[in-house]
Amino acid sequence: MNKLVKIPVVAAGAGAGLFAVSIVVYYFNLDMRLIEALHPYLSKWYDHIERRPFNPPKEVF
Amino acid sequence: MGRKMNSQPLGTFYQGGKTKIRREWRGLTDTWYDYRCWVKNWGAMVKFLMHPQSIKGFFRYRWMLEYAAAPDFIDRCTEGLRGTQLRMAHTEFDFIVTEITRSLKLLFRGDRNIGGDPKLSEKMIAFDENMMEQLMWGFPNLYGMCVQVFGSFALVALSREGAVRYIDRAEEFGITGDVCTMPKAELGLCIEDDMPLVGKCILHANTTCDSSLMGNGIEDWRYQLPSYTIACAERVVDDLTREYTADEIRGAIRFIEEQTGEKWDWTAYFHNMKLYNDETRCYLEILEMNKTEYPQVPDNNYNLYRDLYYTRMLNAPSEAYREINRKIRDLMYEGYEKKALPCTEIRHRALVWGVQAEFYTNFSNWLLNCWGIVGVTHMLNLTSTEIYADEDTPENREQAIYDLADLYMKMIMRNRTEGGFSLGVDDVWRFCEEYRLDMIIMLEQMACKAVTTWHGIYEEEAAKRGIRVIWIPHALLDPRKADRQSMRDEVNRYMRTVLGEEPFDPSLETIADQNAW
Repeated sequence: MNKLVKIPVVAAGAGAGLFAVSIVVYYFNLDMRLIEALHPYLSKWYDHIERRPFNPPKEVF
Repeated sequence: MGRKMNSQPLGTFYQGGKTKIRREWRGLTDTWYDYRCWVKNWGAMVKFLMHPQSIKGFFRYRWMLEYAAAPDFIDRCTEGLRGTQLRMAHTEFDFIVTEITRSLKLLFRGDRNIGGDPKLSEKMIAFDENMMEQLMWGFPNLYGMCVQVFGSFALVALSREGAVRYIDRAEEFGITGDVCTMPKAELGLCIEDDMPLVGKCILHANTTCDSSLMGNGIEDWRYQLPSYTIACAERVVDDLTREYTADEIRGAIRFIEEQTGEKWDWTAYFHNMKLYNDETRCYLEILEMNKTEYPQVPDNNYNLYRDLYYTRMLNAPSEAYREINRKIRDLMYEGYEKKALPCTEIRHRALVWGVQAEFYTNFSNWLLNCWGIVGVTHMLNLTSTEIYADEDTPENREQAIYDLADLYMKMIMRNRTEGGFSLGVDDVWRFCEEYRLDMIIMLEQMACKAVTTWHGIYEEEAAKRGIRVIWIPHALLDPRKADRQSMRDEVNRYMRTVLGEEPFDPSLETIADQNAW
């Protein structure tokens, strides 16, 4: 097939595939289900962040 | 299936997890519209993460993880809606998502905690919770950043448990358990060192809530920045206090000028006030429309958006709000011409009174979908509807200070809860009469001493007038003390036992969302 025809056809096919996948992700709420699955693991990341201690002088309160 | 409201059992979408098992089928047109908005919102979130400072901010602050639940938040806010109602909801909530991502990107660019630009940070003024930011209209080269919005207020709209850790930190520190959880969560953010560090200086509001009074000084210690408290009066019916508040406004302006070297710009101020007056006129049209048999912009569809444009807490440009208001107005008239209803059948027209617990709880949407109770208006919306001076003249320059004082005295939430009996109690009956309301959904925040002390008076006065009151105890940002189902159960019990009504959607009476965002 001529490249000038092939490229747009492949692009259209890829676009259609992406669209179909996005519809499935949207309808079955797969985006939020993925976030839900990752949430506990990502939460642990924040436990290891270095934080400044909190020692206000007594006269503050 | 799907084109009409209540055509699907929405409660069955919740199966005990953090999110629903699927999204709604709303008929081809409305589902296609919802899908396009979903793509757009994800686009906004991905665009936000394309910036290196945004990624640093995402991995530095624990609360940022909850913002990944933004699409779920939008799904909750649009649950059960169709037609113009769906479009209005998306217009507002998608705007909120876009503006929050824009504001967060700006915030992280200046955040000293993550190597942000110190020069940009010095152009920022850190604002206190729920405080009006109209002062920044006179400083077009500066940014007002209500830092607590992102780590606390907006966060809890998205995620039920977003503030729990910070509430616990504040209580471990010594703040008592019976005070408002909103300023408590903000203090917890400070204690946990989870607050972005931006700003040349801080402007505090003199919130009269106990935990805010306890927390402001402690937060100042963490910030280590010069601060000024706009100690405005909140007894808005007293003209003498307006003079006092005007002095506070002048003091705040002087403070910002001294700290930043910027000078107040009257041209910029009056330009923004002109647009703000247009927003107020749009809001007055909405209120008038809501008095009719076909209220088009009920509480669920307007409350949060009104909070944001009223206080300007996301520092979005005024022109952006004008565009959103134009779209809402067009949709409102389109819906009215079609005699569209916000739910299957309006069984009750209600005033939603009390401080908000309904964002993460999706409470107002649930009232519509389950019982046909339309929140015609909400206490937090009923703030100032004055048209202020917006032409630059010598007389108006003096008047502008009093206008700003008026706005600050009518700060969201507190003008009703702290502004005195006439605003907190008498006005309830006036609104019920004006909007032809037969019911009050009383959101009783357990730790809000102001409103809870009036409980008995509300009961007595409502009984005299034949207005039904459903009490919904809640703990604002702490879902452990009163969760979503306990709030819904109060309505379910009342509707079945007192009124003998059946729900439109029985699957919504008890929902397995105890773990949901």
